[in-house]
Amino acid sequence: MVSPLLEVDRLSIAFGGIRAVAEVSFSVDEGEIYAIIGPNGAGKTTVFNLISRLYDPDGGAISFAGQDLLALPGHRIPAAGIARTFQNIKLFDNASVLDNLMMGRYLHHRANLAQQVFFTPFTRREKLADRARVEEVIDFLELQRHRDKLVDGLPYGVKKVVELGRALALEPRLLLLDEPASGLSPEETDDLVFWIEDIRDELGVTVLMIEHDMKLVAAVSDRVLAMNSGEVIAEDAPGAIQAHPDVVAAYLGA
Amino acid sequence: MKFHKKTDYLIDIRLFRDGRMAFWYALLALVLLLAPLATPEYLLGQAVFTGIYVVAGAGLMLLSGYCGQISLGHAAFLAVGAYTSALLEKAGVPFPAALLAAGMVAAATGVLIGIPALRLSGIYLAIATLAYAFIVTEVLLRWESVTKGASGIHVSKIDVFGWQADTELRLYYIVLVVAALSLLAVRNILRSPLGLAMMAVRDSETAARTMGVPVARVKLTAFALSAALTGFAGALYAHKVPYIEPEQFNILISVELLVLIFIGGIGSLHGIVFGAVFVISLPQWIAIAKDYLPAYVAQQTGLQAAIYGLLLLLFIVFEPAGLYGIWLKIKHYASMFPFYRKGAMRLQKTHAKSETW
Amino acid sequence: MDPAVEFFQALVSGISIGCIYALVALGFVLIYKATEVINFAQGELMMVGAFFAFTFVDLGGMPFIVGVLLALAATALFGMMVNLLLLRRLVGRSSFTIVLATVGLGTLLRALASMVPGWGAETHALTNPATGRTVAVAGVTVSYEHIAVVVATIGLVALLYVFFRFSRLGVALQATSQNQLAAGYVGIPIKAMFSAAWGIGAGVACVAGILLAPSHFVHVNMGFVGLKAFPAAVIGGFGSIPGAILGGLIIGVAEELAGLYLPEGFKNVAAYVVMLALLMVRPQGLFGVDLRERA
Repeated sequence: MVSPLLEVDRLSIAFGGIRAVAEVSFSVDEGEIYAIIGPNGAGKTTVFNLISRLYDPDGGAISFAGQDLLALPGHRIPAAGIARTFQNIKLFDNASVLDNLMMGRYLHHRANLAQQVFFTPFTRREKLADRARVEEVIDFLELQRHRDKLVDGLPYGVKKVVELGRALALEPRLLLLDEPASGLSPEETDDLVFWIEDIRDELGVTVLMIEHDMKLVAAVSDRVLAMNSGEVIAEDAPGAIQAHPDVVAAYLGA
Repeated sequence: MKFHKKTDYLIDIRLFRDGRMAFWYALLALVLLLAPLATPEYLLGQAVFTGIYVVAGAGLMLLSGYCGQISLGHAAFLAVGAYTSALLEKAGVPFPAALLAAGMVAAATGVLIGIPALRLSGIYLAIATLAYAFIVTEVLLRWESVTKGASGIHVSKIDVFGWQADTELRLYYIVLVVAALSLLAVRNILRSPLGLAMMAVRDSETAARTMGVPVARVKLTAFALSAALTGFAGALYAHKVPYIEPEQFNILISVELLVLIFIGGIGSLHGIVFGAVFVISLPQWIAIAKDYLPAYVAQQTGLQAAIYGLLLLLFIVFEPAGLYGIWLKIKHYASMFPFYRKGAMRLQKTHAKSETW
Repeated sequence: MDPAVEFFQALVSGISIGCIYALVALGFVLIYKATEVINFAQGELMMVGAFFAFTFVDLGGMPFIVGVLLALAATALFGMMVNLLLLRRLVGRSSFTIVLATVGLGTLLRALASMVPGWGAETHALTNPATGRTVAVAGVTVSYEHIAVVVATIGLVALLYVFFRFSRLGVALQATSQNQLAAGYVGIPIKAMFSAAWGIGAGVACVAGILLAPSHFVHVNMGFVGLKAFPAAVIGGFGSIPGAILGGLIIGVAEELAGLYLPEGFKNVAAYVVMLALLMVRPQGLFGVDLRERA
């Protein structure tokens, strides 16, 4: 039995007096598409923020590929192989789509400061290699039209795709998607279904996503975790979870 | 109208986009190298100041324009560079070494400011840089045993193993080389991973961290590089003046540098040059304009400062892309003529843009 | 002089100048809280206010109180005009742009003030009824001006407190400070609030200028004294009004004590050193809110 890629064990954090995440445990296997659902305020994004080490938990453990994640500072998470997108899109507004995607390659460069200031052939080679990889992502997500445009003026749906692309450019093992379908039209959401599946099948990336769109969740997920008020209330296959009484109660208010 | 067809990735990162662009810049280089031979001494002096401000402006543009860390006290680095160079040369150190040392010491000061700045953001950072500048000036003033305090130091001529820069022309060439190298260095940084990281830190620290950018290290590097460049400018400045004392490096100079990068065009390399030319030549324009102003206005000592402030405000309100923005509009108009549409370059209420060229 | 007396003398001077720093910082923070604008021309507003007072009282020959009230009104109006002509066009721009704009404004005001006939680049004295009189308290000389500064500051702060707590405009301003969008939704005219904030901020600056005139005199570079208000606001924690006042007092006292006990030069930078030291341990100031980006 292969051990899970990501293991979250009794994770907890409180802000002020509010228990945002309380004893949450789950695990994600490599090659899975795992979804987390729950009403607003359930603590889903906070779990993501804990995994990507933007916050320190009050208790619990997170391990990734056998490594203790809590021992790493925030900016080492991508090096460990985890990339994420944000609910409210955090793109670099004053840069082009291409530059945003190139940022995803930051980790993979080896040139030191002097080599960069003098732009040695080594730096140039690295930059060209980065560009080639980024172009593959652009092909995958069909962003060719927007390549040189400034992110600031793009439609919301396109921005979401760019953020996805930036995360992919990192070549992660695990991809955290925070509400990838929010704000997308039905057609765009359909594209998303294919992309997420391709990400798993062609790129070999494991996907952990927070999502409200049950159609999307049902279409792609292998397993679903339901949260409410910071706690886990159910874990099951997508079809079964929708019928789970606690989940129904959480959404409709018992 | 020229359409740029790109056939390989190299085009985007090469120094000159195509042969035509390289031609124009080669022409410019020729003019800059040969014209001074026939230029009056006074204009040469102004050109030297412009070159010095280009170097200093490049430093500030790197830190504030590209990395987003507002510096209200950049004159401090100018001062550190000037004094380091002057004092070392008095002790017999040859100019090239003194110049390098000026940059290193300034860079060290930059890191010193950068470390507390790591935890600060926005307004706290801006005021902290202001505070640092005041402290540096005060230290230079009081450390009389070394800096001679308010009496100042007379700086010797640049001496490179016997070859002296004893004419304005020679000083001009030295400054020209340093300025060109500074712009090249900034350009290189911008098209390298560090430059992208800096811009990422400017736009969203959280996202940058998520991409694996060591935000603190990038900020400190930006501070150090920016301070080093400005330190070089300070060393050159010391030789131009050639008498330095702490009061020269006051908040008005820091403001001048900020005006330089803004009016020049935030986020563009051309902007650094445009801004420097603007700041240095403005007093000349005002002197000429005085003849056309009513006597009461023309006599005022505050006239220059008033025009300065007014121009800054006008640019901020009406042309935030600066002189470079105007330059782009002119080029666009010329290339589209006679099909120019008025709305094509309408002012967009967006933030400053960053271009790698 | 007896060291204890020296200490208390410094304390008195420190509190006095500290009150003025506090007032400049107060006006600065008021404008920031309501409009999110960082006004680097606050010192110049103070200068303009002092000059208005000088014009009415000394040049115009009016009684002190009348002149002061007129100056207050004139400065408040001036502040509102600045908001109308300049700041309103800069809504939505980056804070770097706004900082630069207020810096440019300060430069312009300084230069224009030097061109006004009767003002010019000379130093003027503002005649006031408290000049020259002192009282001795346990060996410490306390001038009437010191007392006037403290009393005026306490009075103004109390007035502002009552205003913000109990008046309609005051409450509306508080709402705008906390959440512009929400305030707009409940019908508060945001643009008018901005004007009001600038008017009040300028008025407070005017009071500071009048209180500063006896010791620093009235001249176009007066505003540079106001630069110290920024460390004061930062120490108190940007966006906190009690913080600004406390910050001003801390800086004033620190300066005087530094002048007394430390070698020459420390007094000039005391404000900045204290601020940097505090920011090391508490990046958001004493009462400030963490400004860092939320995930």
